Amino acid sequence: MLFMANYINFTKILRMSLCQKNIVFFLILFFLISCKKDRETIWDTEYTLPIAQTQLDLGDIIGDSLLIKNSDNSLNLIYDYSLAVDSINTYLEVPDTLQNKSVTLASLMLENRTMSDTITLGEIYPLSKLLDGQNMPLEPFDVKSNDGQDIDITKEFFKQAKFKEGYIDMVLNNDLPVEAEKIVFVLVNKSDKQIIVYDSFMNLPPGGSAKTTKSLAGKKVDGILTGIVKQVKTKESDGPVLINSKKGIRIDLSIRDIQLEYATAIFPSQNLLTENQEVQYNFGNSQVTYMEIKSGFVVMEVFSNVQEAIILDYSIPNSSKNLDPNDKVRQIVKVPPATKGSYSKVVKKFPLDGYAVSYKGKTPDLPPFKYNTVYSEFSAKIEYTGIERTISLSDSVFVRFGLVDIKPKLAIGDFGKREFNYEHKEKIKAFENIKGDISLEDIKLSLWFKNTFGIEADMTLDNFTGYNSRSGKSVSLISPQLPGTFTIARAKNNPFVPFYHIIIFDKSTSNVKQFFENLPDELNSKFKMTVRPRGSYDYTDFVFDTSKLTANIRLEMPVHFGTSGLELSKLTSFSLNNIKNIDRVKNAILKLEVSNGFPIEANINIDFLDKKDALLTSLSESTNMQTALPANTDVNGVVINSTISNLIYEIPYNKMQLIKQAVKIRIKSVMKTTGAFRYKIYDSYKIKAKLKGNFLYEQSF
Amino acid sequence: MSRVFKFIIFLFFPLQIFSQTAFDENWKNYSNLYENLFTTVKKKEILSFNTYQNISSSGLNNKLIYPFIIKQKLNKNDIDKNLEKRGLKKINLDRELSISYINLKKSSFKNKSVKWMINIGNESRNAIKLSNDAAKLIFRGNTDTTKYNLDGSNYFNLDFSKIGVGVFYSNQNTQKPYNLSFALNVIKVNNYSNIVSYSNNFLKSNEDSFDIGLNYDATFASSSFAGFDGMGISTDFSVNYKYNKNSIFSFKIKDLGFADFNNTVSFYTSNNTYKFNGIILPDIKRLNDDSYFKNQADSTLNNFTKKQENLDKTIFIAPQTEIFITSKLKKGYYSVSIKHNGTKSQPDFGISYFGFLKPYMIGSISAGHLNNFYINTDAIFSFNNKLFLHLGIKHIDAIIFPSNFGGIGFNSSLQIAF
Repeated sequence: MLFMANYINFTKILRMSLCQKNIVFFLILFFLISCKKDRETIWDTEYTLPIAQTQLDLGDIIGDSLLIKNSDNSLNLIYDYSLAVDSINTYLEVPDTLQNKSVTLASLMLENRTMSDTITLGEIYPLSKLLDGQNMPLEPFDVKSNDGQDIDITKEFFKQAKFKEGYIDMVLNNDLPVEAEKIVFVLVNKSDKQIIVYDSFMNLPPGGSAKTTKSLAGKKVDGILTGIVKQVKTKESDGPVLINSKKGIRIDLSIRDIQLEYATAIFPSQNLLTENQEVQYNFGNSQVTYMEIKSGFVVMEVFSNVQEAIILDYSIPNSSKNLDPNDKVRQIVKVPPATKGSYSKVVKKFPLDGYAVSYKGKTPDLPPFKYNTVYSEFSAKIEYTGIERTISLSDSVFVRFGLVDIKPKLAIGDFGKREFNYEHKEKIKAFENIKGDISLEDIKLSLWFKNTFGIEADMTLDNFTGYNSRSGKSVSLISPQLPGTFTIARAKNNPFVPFYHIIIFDKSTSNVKQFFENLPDELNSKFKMTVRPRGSYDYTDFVFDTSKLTANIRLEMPVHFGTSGLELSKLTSFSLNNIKNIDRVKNAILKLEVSNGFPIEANINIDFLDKKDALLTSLSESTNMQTALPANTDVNGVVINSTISNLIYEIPYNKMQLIKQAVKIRIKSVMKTTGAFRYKIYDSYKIKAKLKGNFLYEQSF
Repeated sequence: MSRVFKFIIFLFFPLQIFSQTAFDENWKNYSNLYENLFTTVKKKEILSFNTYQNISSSGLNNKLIYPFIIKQKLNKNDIDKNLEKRGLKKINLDRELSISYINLKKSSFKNKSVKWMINIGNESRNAIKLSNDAAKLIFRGNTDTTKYNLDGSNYFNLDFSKIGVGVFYSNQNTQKPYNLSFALNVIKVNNYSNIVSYSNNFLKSNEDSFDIGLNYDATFASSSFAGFDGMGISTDFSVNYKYNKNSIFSFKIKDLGFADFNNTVSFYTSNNTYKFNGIILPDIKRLNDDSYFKNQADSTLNNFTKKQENLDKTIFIAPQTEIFITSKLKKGYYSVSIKHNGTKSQPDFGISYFGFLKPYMIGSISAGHLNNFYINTDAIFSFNNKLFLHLGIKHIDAIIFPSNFGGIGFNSSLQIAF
């Protein structure tokens, strides 16, 4: 308790004192906070350190893939470029083809059927049951009745049927022991009492029979019939006869030549639809006789309201897979029975990948020969299921089928004569960052064509011109081979062998040296091509999905040159902001120590550019260019030892601020050979460089 | 005789002259000084607000220290002058803010001589040692010499908050009166850093390469405001004993304790030498590859920073310890003390003199050695024996002779007795 009292006092005092002393407290706090730092303590420090080092040979500078080493360790520069002149898309696009067929059932049939039934004496003359088994003479009787007996034909015939055509044959057999003077017989539907048969039979001896035939056309017959013996008039028996009340009038019924309008019955197998056809494709100018399919589909869409399962069968007889003629394009689709008042729908898509199809129609080996034509067979049928179904002639099946999304792998035929004119500008990246002059020892330009089409072409080269966009100068290639026309033969198949055609321009046969001493960064070429100028050799031209006609350029040049000023430049992105605390560097001196093993002098400078490529500043001024001296050489121009040069770049404060703003740099190197003489460059030549820095760095705390 | 010594004598004598003789009676005006055995404990409640900030240095003078405080640019001449002396550069930075309360009126205990108190505060202790070469690297760069010896460079930092309760016991009904106080605190360490270097730390550099050797251990821990990491306990204990009529022996130990960090301690170590000749560029394409340069820089640094993270550690807190003897003379009081402030610095040896300049004003002057010689001065003002203001200035020597000495500090305390 005492503790709590003291605690309460303490808090009271605290509150009081705080109220009274707030001003003092906040003054102190303000003093402390006002000493808080947006400012820093700074001082300048100087640091010297190595930054980077490298050792490069020519492959490291321009890329090993462009160089080949000769037996004397000198280097050749190789530059390859490929241009696809033509490809399959020009020749072949296979359109989708879909056929629509809508059919009702052309005929609906049931088999001929028979059955027997007996109207007994006991049923006609019930008193006879009392005399059953007795031998006695029978008095004549004349019985008339309207009572009938059910005859059930649902199992043997049908549950119900309406006939378009058909006949019912009825044979009346007298199994009574006396002569029937008159028998009047009626057969009706039990349900609606429609008369099917109404006939009279006269003077039938015992064991005798009489036949009648009635047409069923237009009649509806139920599965439960009623047979009525309306009248039986017999004569007196000749003496005693055996009375058998179970025998009487035996009726044999048969239905034949049936054509139904509808029926509810167990149906036999039967064809509903057969469609064999040739479909001709539109391939433009191309006449295709054979195609191997890379990808594509057979599509079958079926809508049916037939209340029985339907089997669809689609095939392309003139097709195969993996050269197996038994492995044809064939698809069988089962359509389930429709429910009453509705329809069944089946949509299927089957891949055709890897199949080969003849496009020569139904009889590819017999004239007249066709092309672009595919023969297909399609059928729809009901199979025997043993299940009772209701089918009518108004039931229908809609089928949509055909080939879609076909991408050929190989097509054979005649693809038509075509002519192309090309004017092509090709950028030569290797030269686009080089300007100045160069004197080449040698250079060879190979122009070679590779044809993987099975189609011949005539090529006419009009001209080649090299354009230097930096100097604005153009030099056309001059050679006896220009302008010129040559034939590019077709590739061979099975085995596949492409065709090559090469044209070589060297310094003895052309001005190719001067052409490239212009340092063109753009190659302009003009040529014409006529494809299939002389026919298809009996429709045996071929095209693969990968076929191309490519024009390729190869430059081969020994790295053996001289120059009085060749500038290489490289533009690249740049940002000092990635370097932590770079804003603290006030000025710097960069020293590039170069050990030059090439017989080429180089002035190295860096331009710093803003985002609009405007020059902010350069590492060294034009009046103070830093030069790496060339290596020392012997009388043959071979380097004997490297030369060490120290290139000093001073970066005072103002320049440093401009460099910090740069977002790009252009590294420029102006190369010269002594007296502009040509020097051969060897694989062993290297340049070593070490970058060091001395920085005035502003420390802070 | 050095200027400093003359200055000390200059300060001491006038203070003695101005001190009053009849000083025993004046103690009655200072009921806030309840631990003082030259007077009796008054039945008061005392609330105190205390601040303390001090920088002491050895090897660095105030010409170098002031710009860090007032955020100015360092002068090159000042840097050069400080680096002329070859010895270790030492700096201690200490700071304390606290609020305390003691109830001397009533006791909550059976023994009515036992009073209770509470204390809330925040303390920061920093000790930095740099070899002269390390200081050169920081303040000049690496163009001075080819080899820089970095051995002996250390860094220590401890920042913690605490809240504690304690008891104060006083027995003055005896020929040799004494008082004791004991407090138990819950502490939370906010930051802890400890970098220790061993032998073979060096940098040899020129524009072609630099060789660097680093042999050190570094431990870092910090805790967030919420959460239990960095929590611990500490104790304070003090005893004052008047062993004769004119002399008092005092012993104080403050913040002896420990704190626990779970899974939040980072430890770096290295015992390695490495030669760097510049980043190697294998081909021209790398010139534009920032990530390549970053990877190269990282792999260079990895040679010196074997890192373990998410460690557990219990930090033992070295206490602030003080032993002093205060004696009454004809005029005024003298005190001789040894203190250690719980860091890796040396002990602080000091003597001080204090006396009543006025009945309501005590003045004191002290001199000692912590990294370097120092002179401090303090004044305590009493207002109606209810409000007390204590102001102290540290390192007057360095304030007056900034080119010769390094250090600056002040302490203040506002106490209310009721």
